[in-house]
Amino acid sequence: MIKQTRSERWFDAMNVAVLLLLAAAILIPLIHVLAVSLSETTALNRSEVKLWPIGFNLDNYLLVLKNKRFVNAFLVTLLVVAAGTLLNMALTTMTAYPLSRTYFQARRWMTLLVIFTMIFQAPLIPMYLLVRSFGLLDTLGALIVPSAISVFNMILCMTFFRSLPEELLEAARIDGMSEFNILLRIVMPLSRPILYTLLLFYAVYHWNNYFSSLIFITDPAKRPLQLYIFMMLNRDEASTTMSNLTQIMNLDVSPKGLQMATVVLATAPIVMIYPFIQKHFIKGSLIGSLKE
Amino acid sequence: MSNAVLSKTKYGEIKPKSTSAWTTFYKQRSLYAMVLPGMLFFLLFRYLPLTGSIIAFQDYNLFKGIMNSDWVGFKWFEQFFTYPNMRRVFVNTLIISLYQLIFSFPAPILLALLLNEVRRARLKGTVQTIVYLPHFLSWTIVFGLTHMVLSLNSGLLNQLLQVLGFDAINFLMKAEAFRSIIILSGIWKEMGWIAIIFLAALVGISPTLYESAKIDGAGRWQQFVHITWQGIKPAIIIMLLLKLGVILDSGVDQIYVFLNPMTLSTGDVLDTYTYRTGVVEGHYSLTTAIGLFKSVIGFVLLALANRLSKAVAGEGLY
Amino acid sequence: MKKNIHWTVVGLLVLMLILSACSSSNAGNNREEAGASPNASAEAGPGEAEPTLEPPSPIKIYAPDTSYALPSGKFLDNPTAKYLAEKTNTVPDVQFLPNTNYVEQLKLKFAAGDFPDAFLGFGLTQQDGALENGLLLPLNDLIDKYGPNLKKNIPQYAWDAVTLNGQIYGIPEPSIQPSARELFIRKDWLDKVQLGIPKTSDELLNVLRAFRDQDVNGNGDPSDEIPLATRAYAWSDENIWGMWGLQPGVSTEYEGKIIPGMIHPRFKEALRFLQTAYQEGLLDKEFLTSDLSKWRQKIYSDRAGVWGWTPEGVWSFQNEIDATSPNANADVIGIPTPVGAGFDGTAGAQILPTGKTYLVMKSSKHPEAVVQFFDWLLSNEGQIFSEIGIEGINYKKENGKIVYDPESEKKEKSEWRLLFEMHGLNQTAFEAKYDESQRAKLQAAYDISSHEGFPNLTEGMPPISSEFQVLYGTAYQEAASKIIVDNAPLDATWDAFVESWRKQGGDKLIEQLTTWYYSNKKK
Repeated sequence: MIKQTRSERWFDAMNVAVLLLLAAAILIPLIHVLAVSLSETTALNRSEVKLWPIGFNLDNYLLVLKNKRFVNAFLVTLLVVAAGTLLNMALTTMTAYPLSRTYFQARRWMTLLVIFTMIFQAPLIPMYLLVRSFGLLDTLGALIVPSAISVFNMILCMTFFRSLPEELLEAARIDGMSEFNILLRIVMPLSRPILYTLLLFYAVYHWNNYFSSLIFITDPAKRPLQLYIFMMLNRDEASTTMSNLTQIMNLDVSPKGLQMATVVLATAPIVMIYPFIQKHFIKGSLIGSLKE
Repeated sequence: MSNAVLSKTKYGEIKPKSTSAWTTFYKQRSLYAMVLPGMLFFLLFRYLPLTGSIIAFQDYNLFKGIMNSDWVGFKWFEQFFTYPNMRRVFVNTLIISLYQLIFSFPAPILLALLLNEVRRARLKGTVQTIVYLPHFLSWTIVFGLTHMVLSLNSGLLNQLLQVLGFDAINFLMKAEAFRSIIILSGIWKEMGWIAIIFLAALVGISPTLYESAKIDGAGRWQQFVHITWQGIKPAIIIMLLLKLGVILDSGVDQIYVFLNPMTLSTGDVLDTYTYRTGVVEGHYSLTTAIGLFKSVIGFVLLALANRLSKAVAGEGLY
Repeated sequence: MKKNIHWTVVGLLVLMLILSACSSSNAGNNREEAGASPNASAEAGPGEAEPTLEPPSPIKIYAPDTSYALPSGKFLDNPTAKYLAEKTNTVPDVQFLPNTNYVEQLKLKFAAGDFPDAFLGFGLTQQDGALENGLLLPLNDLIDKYGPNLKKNIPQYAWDAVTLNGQIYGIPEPSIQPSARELFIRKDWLDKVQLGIPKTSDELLNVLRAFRDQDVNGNGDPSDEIPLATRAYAWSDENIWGMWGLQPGVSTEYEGKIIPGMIHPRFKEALRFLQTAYQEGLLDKEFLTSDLSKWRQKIYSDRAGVWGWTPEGVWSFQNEIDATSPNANADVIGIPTPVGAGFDGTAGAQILPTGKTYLVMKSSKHPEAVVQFFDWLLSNEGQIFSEIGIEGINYKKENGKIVYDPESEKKEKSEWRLLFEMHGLNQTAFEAKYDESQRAKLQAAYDISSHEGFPNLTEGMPPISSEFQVLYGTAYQEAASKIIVDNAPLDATWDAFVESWRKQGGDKLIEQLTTWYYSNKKK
C-alpha cells in the first residue's frame, strides 16, 4: 500500500470531520421529529420537547395504525409500489437502451421528443379527462399508468448505459446476440448502481405520491397510505380541536405529534430496505472488472 | 440522410455505398420494437393531454370544454406581463434559480465526492443513510424546524446570539435573509438524496483504473482529477442540462410555506404569483399560459446549453 | 428463456391493470344498479305529511368528507344512510369528495360532465363555476310545492343570502353565529389587572398594556405574556378590522360606491391600532410567521390574552387551556367587539348569514326529490336525526331524557350525517349534546355574535376575473406589514398603496362591484 502523504492524511481527517458535522446537522433535527412524535400533548403545547420525548406516548402512532383504514391503505400502497415499480423499470430500461446506442437511427429525435415532455407539462384538466377516457378513473391503474416512465429517470438510465464500453456489446452482437438479450444479459447486470438507484427513486415516488390519488381516486377503499395520512393531517385545519374521532378513542393525539408520527411511519419502510440497496453503492469491483 | 453506422454482422462489416433509411430501419427493427411501448406511452399520456395546453390561448370554461371556449389569443400572457409587480417577480425567480445553480446544484456533487473518499465503508454508509432522510419530510415540517432555529423569541440561533451579547434578529421576517434561508434549507433537505445519483456514477468507475494509477505513482489528487472527476462528469453534465430545462421552476412548495408579507419583495416568484391567483375564473388558462412561458424559456436554454456542452465537453443530452 | 419470462411479466402486469380497471368500473355499475332498486316508501308522521313520489327517486349528491368517519363500501348499506333513504323516500347516493381540494374535485367532475343532482357549497358560489354558468336550478316553485318545512324553519335572512333577482338558487343552512368571528379574552387576567371588559379600541389598548406589563400568568416573568395573539392576517383575526366595521376584502359602501374594505379611509385607523400594538410590544412579534399550531401553543400554554376564532370555539379553547395549563384556572369568554376609536357604526365581523348551502343543478332529473330530501331534514324529526342521529344507534331515551352517546359515531360510522344538518338551533339536540356549562358558554358566544357584525354588500356576486384577483388577498399585506412592523409612516405608505392599487385595476374593480350591487342587491 502506498503510504499516505501528510496532506492526504490531513485531508482525510478534515473530510471525516466535515461529514460528521453534516450528519449531525441533519440528524439532530430528525431526532427532534422523532421525539415530538412520541410525546404527550400537553408537553408539546408548552413547546417543551427538544431531543427527548416527554411523557412517552405512542398514541400518535396508534391513531394511524389502529384504524382499519390504515391496513387497507398500506396494502394499496404496497400493490401500487410493486406493480408500479415493475412497470417503471421494464419500460424505462427498454426505452433507455436504444436511445443510448449512438448508431440508433431515431436516437436524436426520439430523445428530443422525450425531453420535450419533461419540460412541457400537460395541464390538469386534460390529464384528468384523458385518464377518465381510458376508464382508469378511480382505479389503481390511474396511479400506475400515467406515471409509467419518468423522463428524468430514463435520461439517467440512458446516460449510464451510454458509458458502457461499446466494444463489449459489439462482441456480443457479432456472436449473434439480439439487442434485447444484450440489454438483459450484459447491459443490465453491468448497470446495477443506476438500476438500483432508479428502483429506489421509483419505489419512493410511488410510496410518497398522494397527489395522483387525490385527483383520480374517490373510493375510500382505494386510498393509498400517503393520501390517507394527508387527509388525516389536513382535517385539523378545519376544526377547533382534533376531530371527535380522537376524543372518542381516548387517545392523546396532537396535530404536531400526529404530523411527525406520520412522517416517521412513512419513512420507516424505506429506511429499512435501504441498506439492502446501499451495498450496491459501496461495492464496485465486480462491475468494474467486468467492464474491463 | 441517415449517418447511422451499420452494426457489424456475422459476415463482417458491410459498407454499402448508400444506405437507404428504410434499410437501416429494418436492420434496427429490434431496437425500434424495444422503444415502441415507451414511445406509445409518451404519445398517449404526455403528448395527447399536452394538446390541452391550448387553453392558454382561450378563456377556458370547463363547462364549455376546450371545443367551445372562447379564444383570447395572448390575453393571459399580457395579463401577467403587465402585472405591476411582475418585474420583481421575474427578478426574484431568476435570482433564486441562479443561487440554486451556484449553491444547491454543486452541494450534492461535493457530498458524493467527499463520501467517495472515505475509506471506512461503515462510516460512509452510516453518513449516507442519515443524510438522505430529510428528503422525506414535508416542507411544512422543514419550515417548522427552521422556525425552531431562527425564530425571534425561542430560536436556537437567537439564543446563541444573545448569549454572545448580540440582539436577537427576526430572521424569518427579513427580506434580505429570505433567499439564503430558502437555499440553505433546500440544500439541507435534498442534498443527501440527490447525492445518490452521483454516488451511483462514482461506484461505476472501475477500480482497476485506480489500481493502475497508483502503480504509476499517481497521488490522491491526481487520481481524483484523472479518474474520479472524469467518471462523474457525464452525470454532472446531464443533471445540469436537465436543471436548465426547468430553470424557472423555483420549488413553489418550499417557497410558499416560507413566504410572509415581509419577504415578498425578495421571495415572490412566478410560481407563487400563479398560485395566488387562486381558484378563480380564468385560472386554468392563466396557469397554463405561465407554464408554457416557463417551458419555452427552459427549452431554449436547454437547447443552447446542449449545443455548448457537446462542443466543449463532447457530451450532451441528445 | 429470460426474454420469455420478461415479456410474461409485462404481460401479466398489463392484464392486472386491465382487470383492476374492469372490476372497478363493474363495482361502480353495481352501485348504481343497487341504488336504483326501490326502497320502502316513507312513513308520513302526523302533522308532517310529505307528498310521496312513487317510486323513490335516485339522487346523487357531492359533499366533502371533512373529518367525519365515512361509511365504507356501498353507501346504502350503512344503517344511517338506509334510515335517511326511508324517511325521505329517496335513494340517495352521496359521494364524498376529498375535503382538502373539494372545489377542485368539483370542477374536475364538472369538466368531465359528471353532474350530481345536488352538491354542497358555501353561499351561492365557491368559485366552482356553477352559478355563473347558469347551471343552478331556481327552486322557488319546488319549495312552494315540496318544501313546507323549509319555508317554516329557515329564516328569511338565510333565504335572502341565496336569492338573486328574486330567484332562490340554493337551500341554505342558517347560521346561529351570524357575525362569524369573535374575540376571546382571558377573563381571569382581566380580573387580575382589575380592568373591565374593553368597550372601545382605546380601552382594549389599555387592557393589552396591562397584560404586557404585569405578570398575569403568574409564572414570575412579566415579559412572556403575549397580550394580543394573532397570525398573519388570518380569518380568525378579523375582529381587529371589525372594530371599525371593515374587512380588507369585504365590500362596503363609501360615497355611493362599493369598495373593498381595505380602501376605505377608516381602514387606516385599524392599521394605526395594529401599528401601535406592535411597536408597543402588545402584538406578538412573530405574528407573521406563526402557523396554526404554534399560535395555538401560545394560547394553550397560558401566554395569550386576546385572540379570535369562530364563536363556537369558546369552549374548546377553554378545554385545551385547562388541559395544558391546569394551574392557570383560565376563564375564556367571548366579548363583543370593541368599537374602534372615532367610529360610530356597528363593529363585529363579517356576517355570514348561511353556513353550508346545497345547490341543485339544472341537469337534475329529480329536483323535486332533492327538495323533498332536504325538507324532511328541516322537519323536527329530521333536525334531531341530522344533529344527534338515530334512536337506538346514537342515543337512547331514559326517563324521557335523551342520552347521547358520542362514541357511537365512530362505531356506527354515522357522523357524516352532520353534512346534512341544515337547521339553526334545535333546542332538544343542543341540550342532548352539551352539558350545562358548555351550553352556557356557547349560548353567551352565540348571543354576542347575533348582536354585532356587518354584511358583505356583494354577497352572492359571481367571482371576479383573475386580473382583479391580485387586488384581494395578499396585495395589502405587504404595505400593512411595513406600517405595522417597520413603523413606516402610516398615511404616506397607505395612501401610496391605495393609489397604486387603483391604478392596477382597482378603479375598474370598484366600478364592477358598484354596478353589480345596484342592479342585483339594492332593493
